[in-house]
Amino acid sequence: MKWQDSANLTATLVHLSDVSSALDSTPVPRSPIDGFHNTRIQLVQLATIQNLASYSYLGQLVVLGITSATENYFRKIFAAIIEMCEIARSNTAELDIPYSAAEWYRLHSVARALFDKVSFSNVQEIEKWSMKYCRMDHSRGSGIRDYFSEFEKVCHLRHSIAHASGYVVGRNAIALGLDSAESVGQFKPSLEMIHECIAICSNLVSAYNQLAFTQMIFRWARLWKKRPTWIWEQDKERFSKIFLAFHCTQDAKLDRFAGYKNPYQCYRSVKSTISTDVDENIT
Amino acid sequence: MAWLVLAQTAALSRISGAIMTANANFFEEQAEYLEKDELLRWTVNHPKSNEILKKLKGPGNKLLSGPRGSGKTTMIKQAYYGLADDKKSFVIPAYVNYKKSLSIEPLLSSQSNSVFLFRQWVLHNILSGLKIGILDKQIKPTPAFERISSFSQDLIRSLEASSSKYLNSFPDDYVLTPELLVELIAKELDDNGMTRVVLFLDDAAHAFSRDQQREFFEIFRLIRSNKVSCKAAVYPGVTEYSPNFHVGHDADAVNIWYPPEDADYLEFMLDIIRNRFPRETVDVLFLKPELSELLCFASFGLPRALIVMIARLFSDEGGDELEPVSLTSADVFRVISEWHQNTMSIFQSLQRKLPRYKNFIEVGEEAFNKSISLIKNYNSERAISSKSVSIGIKRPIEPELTRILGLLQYSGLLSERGTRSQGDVGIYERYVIHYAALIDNNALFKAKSKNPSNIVEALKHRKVVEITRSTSKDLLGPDYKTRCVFLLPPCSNCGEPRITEGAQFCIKCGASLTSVSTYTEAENSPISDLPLTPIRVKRIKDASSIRTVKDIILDHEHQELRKVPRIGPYWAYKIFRLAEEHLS
Repeated sequence: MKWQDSANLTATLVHLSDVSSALDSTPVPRSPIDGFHNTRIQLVQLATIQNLASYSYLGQLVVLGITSATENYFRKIFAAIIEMCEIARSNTAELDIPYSAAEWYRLHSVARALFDKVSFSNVQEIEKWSMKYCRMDHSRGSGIRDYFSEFEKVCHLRHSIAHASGYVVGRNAIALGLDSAESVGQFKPSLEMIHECIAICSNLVSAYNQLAFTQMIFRWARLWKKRPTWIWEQDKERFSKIFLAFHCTQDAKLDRFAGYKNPYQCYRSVKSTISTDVDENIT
Repeated sequence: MAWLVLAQTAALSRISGAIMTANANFFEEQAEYLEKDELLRWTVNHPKSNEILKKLKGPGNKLLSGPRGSGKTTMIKQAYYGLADDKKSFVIPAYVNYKKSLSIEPLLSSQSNSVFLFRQWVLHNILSGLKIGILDKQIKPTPAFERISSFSQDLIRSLEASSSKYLNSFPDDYVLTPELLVELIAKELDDNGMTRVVLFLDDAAHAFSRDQQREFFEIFRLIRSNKVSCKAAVYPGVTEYSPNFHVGHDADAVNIWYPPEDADYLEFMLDIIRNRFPRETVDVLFLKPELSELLCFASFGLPRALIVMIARLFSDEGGDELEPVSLTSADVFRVISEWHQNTMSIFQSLQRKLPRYKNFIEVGEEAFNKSISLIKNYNSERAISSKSVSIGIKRPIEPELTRILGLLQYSGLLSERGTRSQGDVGIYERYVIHYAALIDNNALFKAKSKNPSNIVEALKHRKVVEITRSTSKDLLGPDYKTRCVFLLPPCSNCGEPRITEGAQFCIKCGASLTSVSTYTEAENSPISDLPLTPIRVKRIKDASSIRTVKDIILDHEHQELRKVPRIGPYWAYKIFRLAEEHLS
């Protein structure tokens, strides 16, 4: 008997096998919001009352999963905006890209290389990229700040789950308004609270998607066309790109969906309602 | 406490059999619809009123709690006028009534910025109310305040008229936050040499949906400052506070309900009759004192109940014509029974207002009746001086019953009276049952026939210690777990039932779950949902095109209603008001 063995059993090294074998080959959803909803639905279906009763960590993992899906949505939608919009592109032109990221994303989406070292699990970073680089208007009247403010609370939970096994302490606890005397337990959310967290993320994604879509369409109608690089033959194609990047096929299946389901119908509606006169103030 | 009572003129008209065509306010039982002079003239005080008024006029946030008809608005308005008319005080009052909140619900539910717009509507309503308060105080608002309050009025008008004007383009310059509102108020105070503002927020917890209530109380919490204090009227048992809001810390609760077991209670209620009704009415009522005292007890601390019961005694069931009356026990028991049914119908109407609680309300009605029958059983062997009027429920109380008790308190069918330890037997939560229900069921005596003098005697001498003990299971029945389930609409995408009240997504297909706008549902409900007799409903249907509550609201100058036989200006106005109340 050795005294060194008094702490725990002796460890053995395990090698990670080929990760590529674990990668899902299912085609990537057409729009970022579709990708988000695919994940959201799976998380909702996973968090049943029975599963939550059987696996006490499941609630934490679902909250972690939904924030990750939200982060991924912003990663993808910002990349799409930067690729589609010259205004956003010019704003990001001066940014550096790590060589490894450039090399990796070369074949997919170079714009995504811009976020290789960025984490969108905090609201300030998302707002910075949205407002500063993508030039989205987060006016107070849009209500988008309220959605971000709720998402920030979920981000604090995510941080506690990812880094402290669900113990909500320190600045996360303070930000969530917890009393230091009370917050000694682990975060074990009920089904209702899990749904609240999912709804906060989902509603943020929906609200942001609609806000960004509206502003991109206005740019297409009023700004891009005045640029010397504009090619009139690509008018519909570029409109279609915007439509497809933002259109949520999951929502479009529901009876209460009140929008157009294909780009051409939407194009005609936009043409008849939005003036194509240039408004230099809209950037 | 201040209570609103009928004007002498109104009662006089009733006695003389005159046809009321002039001022419908004589019949008004709700204070928010009264003009200042009417309110002050028709109000009577009781010993606690000064204490409550002091709390309302003073600094610090307060929640004025009481069931429907307990006089919250009357008290709030008294406090408002007290501050507005006091030329020596440096306090500006502001009165805001949020009764119309449900009408903006359908508009907001389709907007992604609905929370933002709701918050603006709440805050701009305060600003708009404050402007009236400033003018009532006879001081001049600053030009900057004038500008923003003009915008407030336009915004409120637009949202309440379902206009899309500000839905997607809200001017940044006029966006209010609680902090900004406090700053604006502080500046206005400084510029006018004033020291404080008291905000009276009426119908706050009544009209809002659950989410709106939470948002409202978050605003309420954030508005508090040393220069601004908020006083909100709330209902016991059903008000939803925001997660950060703590009663006692963020606001003190002030109970307005005047308990009928109070030593001065009977004298106070008799004073209402004695001082405010015309002599002819008083004479008829006091000819048989046991009957007038019975009416006072049956009103269970709610002046509105006393007013309505006396009004029903002195008028026929039908239209605006009023009949002379000779008071009999049978008449008094009839109006008490009607009032009991009316209070019960308020409880039952929650099935429509809160459809998810439909099953709870059904079980709740049974539990309430069971309580009465337990009390009757308990009293059957007790002497007249030791009757029980309350039910004691042993702790722990099942969550289903806690919810039901909240809804019963909101309706005024029972009133909480704290806990009572019964030694080794356990701790009991005590609830006094509405006296009209006890009288109507003759729950104080074993006999079937009711004797007014005995009932009054028993109520005068009832003992606090006489509690009819019970448990959650006794009241709810053995199968309550399967019966007390939320009635929630299934998933609109796949039809899967909702698993819990708080579920926001369908557990089967993952689609987000939605609910129909309460306002739209209420607006389209049939007129039979209003507290009208079946005969009256039939008459309206036969003689007019009115079928839904919305039809009544849209009936310009009550033209359709007036086509109905036995519906004159009074009843047309009254039915319109019932429709309005149905939507609030």
